Amino acid sequence: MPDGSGHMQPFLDQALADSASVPGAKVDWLADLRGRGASIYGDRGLPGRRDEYWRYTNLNALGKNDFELANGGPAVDVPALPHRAVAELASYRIVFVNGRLRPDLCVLDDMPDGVLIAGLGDMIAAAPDRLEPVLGQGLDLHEMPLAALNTAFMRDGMVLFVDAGVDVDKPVHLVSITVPGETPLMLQPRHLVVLGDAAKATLIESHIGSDEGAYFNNLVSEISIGEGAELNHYTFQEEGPAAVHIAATALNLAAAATYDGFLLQSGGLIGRVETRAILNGSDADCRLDGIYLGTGEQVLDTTTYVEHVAAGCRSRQVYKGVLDGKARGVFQGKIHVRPDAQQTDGHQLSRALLLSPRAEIDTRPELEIYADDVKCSHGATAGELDAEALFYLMSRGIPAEAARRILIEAFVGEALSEIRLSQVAEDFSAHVRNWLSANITVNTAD
Amino acid sequence: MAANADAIEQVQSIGEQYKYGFVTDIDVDLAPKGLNEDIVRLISEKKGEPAWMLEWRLKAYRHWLTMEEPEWQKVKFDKIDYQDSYYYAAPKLGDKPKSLDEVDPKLLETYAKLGIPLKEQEVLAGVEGAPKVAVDAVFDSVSVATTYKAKLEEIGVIFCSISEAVRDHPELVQKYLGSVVPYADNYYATLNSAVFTDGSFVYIPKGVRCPMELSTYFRINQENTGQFERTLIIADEGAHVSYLEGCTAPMRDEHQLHAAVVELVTLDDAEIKYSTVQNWYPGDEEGRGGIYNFVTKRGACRGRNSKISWTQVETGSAITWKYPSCILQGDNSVGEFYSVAITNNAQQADTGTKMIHIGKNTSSRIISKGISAGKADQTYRGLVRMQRGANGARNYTQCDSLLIGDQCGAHTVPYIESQNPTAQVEHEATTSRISDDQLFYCRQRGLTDEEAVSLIVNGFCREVLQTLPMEFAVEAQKLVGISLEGSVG
Amino acid sequence: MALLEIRNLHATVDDKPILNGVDLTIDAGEVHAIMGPNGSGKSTLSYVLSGRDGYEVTDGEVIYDGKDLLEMAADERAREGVFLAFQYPVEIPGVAGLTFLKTAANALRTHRGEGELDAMDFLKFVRGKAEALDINDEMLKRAVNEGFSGGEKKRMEILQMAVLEPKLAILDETDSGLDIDALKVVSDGVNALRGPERGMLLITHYQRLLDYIVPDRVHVLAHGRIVKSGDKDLALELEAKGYGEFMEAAE
Repeated sequence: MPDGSGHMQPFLDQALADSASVPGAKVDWLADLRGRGASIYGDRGLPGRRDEYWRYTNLNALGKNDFELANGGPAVDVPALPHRAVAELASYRIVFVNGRLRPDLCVLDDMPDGVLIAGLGDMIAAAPDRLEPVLGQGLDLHEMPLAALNTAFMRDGMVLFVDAGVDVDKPVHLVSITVPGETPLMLQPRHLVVLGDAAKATLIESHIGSDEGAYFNNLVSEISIGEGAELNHYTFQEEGPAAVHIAATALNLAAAATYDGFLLQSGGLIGRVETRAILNGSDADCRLDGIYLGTGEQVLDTTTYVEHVAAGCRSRQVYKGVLDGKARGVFQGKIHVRPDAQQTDGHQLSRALLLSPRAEIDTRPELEIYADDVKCSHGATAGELDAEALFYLMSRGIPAEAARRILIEAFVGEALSEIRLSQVAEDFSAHVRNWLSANITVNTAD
Repeated sequence: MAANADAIEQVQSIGEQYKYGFVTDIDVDLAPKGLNEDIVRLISEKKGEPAWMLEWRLKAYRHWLTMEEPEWQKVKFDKIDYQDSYYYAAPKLGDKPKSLDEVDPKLLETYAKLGIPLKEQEVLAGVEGAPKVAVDAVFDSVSVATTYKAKLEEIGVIFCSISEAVRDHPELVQKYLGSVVPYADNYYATLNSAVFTDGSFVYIPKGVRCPMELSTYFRINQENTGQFERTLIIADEGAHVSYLEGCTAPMRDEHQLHAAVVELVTLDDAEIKYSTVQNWYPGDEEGRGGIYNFVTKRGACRGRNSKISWTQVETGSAITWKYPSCILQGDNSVGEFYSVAITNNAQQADTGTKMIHIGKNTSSRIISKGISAGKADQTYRGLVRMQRGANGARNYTQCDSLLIGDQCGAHTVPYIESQNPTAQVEHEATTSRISDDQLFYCRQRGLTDEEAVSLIVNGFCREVLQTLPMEFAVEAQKLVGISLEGSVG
Repeated sequence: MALLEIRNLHATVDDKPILNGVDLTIDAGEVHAIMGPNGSGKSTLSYVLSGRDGYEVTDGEVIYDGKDLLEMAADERAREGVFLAFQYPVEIPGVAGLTFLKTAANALRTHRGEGELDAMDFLKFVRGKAEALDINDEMLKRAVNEGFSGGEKKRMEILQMAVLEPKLAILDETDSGLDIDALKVVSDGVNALRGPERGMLLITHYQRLLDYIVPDRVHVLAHGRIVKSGDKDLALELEAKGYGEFMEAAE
């Protein structure tokens, strides 16, 4: 599938070379789906400045690197999970190392009836029929060229199926650990979450990587939430410092479904998390919140698209960013209200703190509205810490550095305050504190 | 939802039946249809331009040939056939008129029909004791009347057609023309640079506060004549000027392109306030025959403490595509953008502003009020950029959309880029509709639906309309459907 | 001839019957009070009389000043002299109160064939009436009801009534949300507007208001019907006994 210039799009050759031998190569629908991904990505290639929603995040460097498709390997040393509270939390844990399921590290005992947690690779081998109605159904590959690339490659990832009416008794913890060797690694994990009507689950995702070595983690999650079902979803993006983390989540909500998502991004050289939420059924409720903490030359991109298709749905987004060094933050958020989506209530807020004269924030909140009986708004602010507040604290004897930390913590703390699961909130807070003490040094004399 | 259906109807009629749909019958000197280098040369020759001007036009024309028509804006229209338009038309007036008595009475009749406020008609007619509003009337492509010129000349203000300026003030034109909107800026501005036939030129010298509002009325008249005005306003150090621009256009069947360029320059401590009421023919209910209004307006605050303020009331045109912008170079300079845009029936508008903060402590304020009714589609598109050196810069943006009926669309696409931690950016946007409660409350007090809607819409736009100079208030009130606002202020 | 005659009025909201045969006659110069528990149809009656959309009359008729009221559009009724003081006055951002009043007053004057008042004359006219209600110029310049306290909103309603000089004033829960001082100001305002040409219909849940605005007749509304009528003492009886007995009677 050459592009216009006659060159193969980056990475595609590996997928095509593999296509006859991957698990499920003989399953027709799956081969077709992979082929469709390859074809769409082949036409589009890596997104660049010409793509409206990629103008602030440049992936040119990716195309120049030779990435080797990650293939697990039990020999690597697995770093300890940095999330202490979550690690101690009783949960079902599914662990991937270098893109492959590691059954020896998983904790999946005593799963209740109606709950299935498994590796996608195993599912493809054992029960592809269960995947057919859902895999690749929930996302528009044309809108997400890198999800198309992932589709061409997909071979492993997490499958979480919860039957109608089942309330999963413990959180499900998805851990992705990447430890590259000499050659840069490429990962194409594919996760699938399907909640039946009135089901309930909590999903925690931890993405961590080793401090050394480059890798490209291009993951896609398809999440479908049935009528009246509820998913709480917390994500730690703490990839290694040389990583490129591109995550695309396709979220489909049926009537009266609830999704409550919180994302912490602070890892990787480039981190981009894109969520496309489609509110298909009336009275659905979708929350997308998050914080991002950037330093060095990081680019941290949070992109959301919330489409109100049905009437009476509610969506809320609050994102807060703290940027130091030469880091660049990107927030792009669009609320799209279809003509039939009357009584839509959609709000979005993006706030960024710039701590250094070389940091940058690019924000693009967007409303596209075709229904008249709606309440929609967005707000965006960017700036530094409030000088008056800083002075006030210092005038009470608090040293400058501590005062700055207090104010930054308060700034992001507001976003953390609504997290329901206390262990998760605790780890998020701990992460913020660690980040601040590692990165926030004071240049003003006390 | 009966009230709602009524409301839709009412707002559709806020623009009223277009009452300026008439064509003046005057002999016209036409260049052949189509665009090529010869036409560019002909325009330049007809204007008696110096060689440098012709060279600039040709440079623009040659560059234009290499460009592609932009497609990113959220408006849809049939491809324009640039070879099917006339690029030059001048009313046949023989020699320049010595006084207004020598002007074709039909022209004056046209002004009357245009609804130019009585005061300004008096000015135009040279009535003794008329208010101090200078009118540079652009009739098709050539300025035919300039009043109060002498009075302005006394204090050193130059207010003339751009053609006259090219002839009489070449040093100023050469220095500033294209310095804010370069000839290669964008497709329509480049086309304008090649073929512009008229427009206004204003120079306010150091320390002069222009004693009157400067005003111009544009009007497309000749069938198939695109208009390519070029306006250049320079406020030298400490100078102040308020410039008013209003447009109406006659009804016709074919779409017409209006691709004007406006460049503003303010030096230290100078201020330009530029107000527009845009009421071009919007087309019929399906959008047939309306004007394409693709305009490039940009101001450069070059000097310290300088200020450029754009106010626009956009109610006309089938398609409006414009982003009056400010480049805030001088420290402490200020940019403002106040906009009301009303679209209904099949109208489309993609409008907004760019505020580029370069200097220290620069500040900008954007207040945009969009009202969409019928099947109209409207987009606010804006850019606020805080560049690395813009220490202490400030921006505040408020974008409110009002939707009337369930067939229309309202979109907000702001780009906010900040590279400076000491810069503060604040953006807010809301979308709402006129509530049934508000309508009923007004009707219970005896207001008809029409009155109720115009009252509520007026309230919605108030913050912007208040920034208009008094001279424009009447027209803006009519256009937005203001009933009593301002009389009790 | 009665000013207002309601005969067998039935009305529904979203196909749900709310009024189930209301009969009521008000003569010019009279003040009537309608009392009833929540959900008895009091506010519906006020909306049906003032012509709000979404309230469908399924049976009965209303004759106002010799005309068929139900035939008229909401704004027409207002111009014919029907005034509703809202329980929850609506906010209209950006529209100055004085502008709103003047627009309404001039719509009315035009309808009556009187000339419109100019800004200065109108301001004088309004100021005179506003003073008695403790409404200053600053309040008049603010946007209609925007950011007003409950008491301010109710005072503005009464000011509008004083300016528009209706023939029939319907006051919907005008006492709700008012403290004693505000209640007194509002009641004085209303009492000042009582007159031989004007009829009033007070809609209230509590008897308290009727200590300040003493009605000629009191009616009890329950389940969308008037179940008992009497003089002002009926209100006291209600206060003492509660609505229970009347509710039963209605069932």
